[in-house]
Amino acid sequence: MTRLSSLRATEPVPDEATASLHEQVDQLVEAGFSRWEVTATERCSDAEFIRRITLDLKGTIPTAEATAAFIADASPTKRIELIDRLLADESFARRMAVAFDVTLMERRPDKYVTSDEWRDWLQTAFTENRPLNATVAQILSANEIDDDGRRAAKFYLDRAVDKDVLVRDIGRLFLGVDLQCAQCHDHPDFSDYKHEHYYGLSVFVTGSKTFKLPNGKMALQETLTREAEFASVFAPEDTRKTGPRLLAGDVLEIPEFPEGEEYVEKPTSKVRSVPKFSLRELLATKLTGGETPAFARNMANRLWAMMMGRGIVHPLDAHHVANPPSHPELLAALAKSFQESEFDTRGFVRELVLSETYQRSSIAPSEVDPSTIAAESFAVANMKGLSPEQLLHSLLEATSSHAVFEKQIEDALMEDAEAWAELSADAEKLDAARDAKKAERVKEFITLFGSTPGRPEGEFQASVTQTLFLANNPALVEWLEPRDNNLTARIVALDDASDVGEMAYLSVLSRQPEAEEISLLKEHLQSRDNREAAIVEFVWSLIASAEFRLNH
Amino acid sequence: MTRDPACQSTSHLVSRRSMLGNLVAGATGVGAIGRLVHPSVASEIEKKKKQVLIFLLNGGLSQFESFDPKPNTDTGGPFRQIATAVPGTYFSELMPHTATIADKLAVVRSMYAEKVPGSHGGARDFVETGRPPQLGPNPLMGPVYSTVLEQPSELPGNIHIAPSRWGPRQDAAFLGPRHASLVLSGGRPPLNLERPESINEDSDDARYRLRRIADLRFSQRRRTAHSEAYSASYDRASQLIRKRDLFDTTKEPEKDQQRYGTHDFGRHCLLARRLLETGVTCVKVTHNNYDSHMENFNFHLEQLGEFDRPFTTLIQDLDTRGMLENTLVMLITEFGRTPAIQPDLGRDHWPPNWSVVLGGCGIQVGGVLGATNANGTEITDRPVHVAEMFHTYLQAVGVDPTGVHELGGTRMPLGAPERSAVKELLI
Repeated sequence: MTRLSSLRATEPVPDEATASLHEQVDQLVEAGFSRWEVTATERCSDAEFIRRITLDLKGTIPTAEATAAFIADASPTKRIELIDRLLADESFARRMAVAFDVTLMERRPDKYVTSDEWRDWLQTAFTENRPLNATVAQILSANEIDDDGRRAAKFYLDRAVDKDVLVRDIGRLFLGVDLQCAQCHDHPDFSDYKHEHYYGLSVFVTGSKTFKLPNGKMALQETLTREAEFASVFAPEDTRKTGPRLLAGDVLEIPEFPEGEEYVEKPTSKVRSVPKFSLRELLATKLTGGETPAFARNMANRLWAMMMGRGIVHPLDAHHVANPPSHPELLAALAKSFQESEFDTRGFVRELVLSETYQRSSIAPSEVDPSTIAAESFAVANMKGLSPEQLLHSLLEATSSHAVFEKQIEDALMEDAEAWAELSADAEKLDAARDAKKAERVKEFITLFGSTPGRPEGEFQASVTQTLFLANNPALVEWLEPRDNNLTARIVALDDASDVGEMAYLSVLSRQPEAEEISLLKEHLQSRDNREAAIVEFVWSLIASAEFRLNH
Repeated sequence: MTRDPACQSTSHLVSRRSMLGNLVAGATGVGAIGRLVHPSVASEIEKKKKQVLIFLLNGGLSQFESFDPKPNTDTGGPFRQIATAVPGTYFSELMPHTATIADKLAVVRSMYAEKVPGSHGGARDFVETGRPPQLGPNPLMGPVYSTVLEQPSELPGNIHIAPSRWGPRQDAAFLGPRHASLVLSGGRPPLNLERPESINEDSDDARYRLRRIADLRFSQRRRTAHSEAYSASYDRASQLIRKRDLFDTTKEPEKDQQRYGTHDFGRHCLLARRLLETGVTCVKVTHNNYDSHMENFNFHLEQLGEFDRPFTTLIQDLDTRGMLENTLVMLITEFGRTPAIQPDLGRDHWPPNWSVVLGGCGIQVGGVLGATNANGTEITDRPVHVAEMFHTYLQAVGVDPTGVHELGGTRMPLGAPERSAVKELLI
């Protein structure tokens, strides 16, 4: 039995018999080193740590002040204290809501439930630290039609309750297996993905469709369905049948009802069809209830990847015999512990980030060629690209441009003088208009830096379109020009090049500059006629650097 | 597969080695050929560099008013058919110029798809990815070509000359943003190509130099795959800024500007020629406004009136410049239009049969494949499924459509595994 949330700042380190999860993580990761012929690199610096943990738990880079204070703090338990502070903050729940929205909806456009409604619902679940399996069970059963229930139903509703999309995504996102090929035939490469697994899963959702409630909102209804019929595209005449089943699990029993008594109330065009036995409810119970090990394993692997930059099964939805986990025992221990903690997400994440594995530097040990260190060894920290949301918030934080951003939003609203006159007379409407405009800007970032709707975020890549935006976008260029007490305005007021360097590096890259970097900066400032322009050029070069674009 | 040449992870090395093995064994190579195979083999392939030109007629081109006319029937509408350069083959009179180059084209009159989503976007995805959108998202052809035909050049692999208000989108699915289409909205240069007035060239050079130094420092003793990919995107961006004349058709001879026409679509076709001549692998030109639920005949009169001449001019130019034999040309649309003519003279969406046109690289031209019945309500000969066509588009440029994209632990088939290319269309 492992313990979660065991280590408090003041507690002594526990002995091996009662090793906490983060100690087990380190032991099992280290046990793998010989396989890849690697050794662990050193612990990351305090600067690297505060940037990484703040991005991971809060979704943005730390402020220059927080970074400076953390580096100066002499307390030996400061990392644990910072972790606990960040986990207790509402911004952790918000960050998890965004991360789970992106994981579960994959940037699909809104259909019946807005992203705001859904994220609010998720955020409440994370604020209250509801067991993750209970949250998922609510998403999968989606039987409630009150406001809360409708939000939870987004997973089905905004996929237009399309059976093929749902089966595939339930497999990928909740069980870590991609059954796409098994939709049409047994998987050609992997003997563990069978055609009947796809159809066994499809029975759970085949009877579901939309129902418009009297209040105009969309909800789900269900026709009782018992089995699915299927045939391989390679042998279309040979039809087979299956009842509901979760992957290789047994076919599940559906109780018999006398004819005419299958429904709570006889369904009509006006009466929502609700069977006495709901297959979605059955799916929710069986998938999250402990008898489907793939669920805990998948969720543990996803949270691990969120923090460690790579799954133990990688890609996250490709768990099959030909793609085994890099650390099978570790994955089993994580899944067991997560399940035994009753899916305590906050406690689980806490253990992950307490580990030395998480706190390793992204810099290879000296004398070792970094390219020879296998990413799946976790001997060196894996770098992650900032998500569109992390990038936007970090850009605003780095350049202290929140005020400039607000002004840009207001300027955009003022473009329509008539509408503006109306808005400025009504505070509530004005706020709503501001929020809508901001959402537009966020959407612009997501379209540019996010994945294709319906696809998971892949490996870090960079496109010319993104880069041109970072280099030349007029709104972004304004954040870098000295104004409204933003970063460059404050830097221009400094005389000494070392002070310039210190403020710029702390604000943008969350660390102190090195001596060589200060001399480079001095050279640059001397070589340029226009000091203000020179400072803007310099700050942009940090913003546009790989060090800023990556969580390292 | 990860398209990053700098990535040295062992799993990639394995897949590279096995790919090389496949190639040597005679299977058609799938992947970034130029980079992966032995230099001498790569230069062989480079000599025969293939390009692709896609015309997307957005909204649903009517087969009756273009390549499968049915004059004097209950469904045929008011237009006549005209003879083409291929004896016995007739097009609608709305395409007089295209008719003169029918000998350079292959017409498929029996294209179909089943379970097509009602939306234009969904149906378009089916045609452009070769898979039903329910199984997607999958990468569009442009990103696929930019991946499998990628050349060692600083140019973007895949450019979409789009109507106005058509912004950048992530259309590369699992191939990633690196291969997403560079969108020229309204035929204008890419967004943010022009640097703001506050930054002069001097200043730009200075900040790029500082950026590069910062990246070099950061990359010391770290894995370099991410930072090199990031740096490369800045290199490509500054190349593009330097080459921004590439997007300026007024740099083409005045005579050519007149030949193509000064309207948007004419300019877009001339721009496509300019991009192909510079070496861009895949260029797509989208022409809008074919969704004629009302006034189908007036709409097609107007739209095809605009389309016909520049399209023909571009094919002829590619031919006289010796580029056509290495450039696959396709004219696609998301579905056909109904045989039945609605009371307000419209035709609705019709996925059971429509027409597609191919030409250039690898294509058996001068013929018609498939047929529909006398009034165009059903296919009577050689039905061709959209997924078969997707295989054909790849096979035509020498890419094995039964191959896979290697993506870390996952392999994604290029074409739908249960389909294959249409042999009759290929040389």
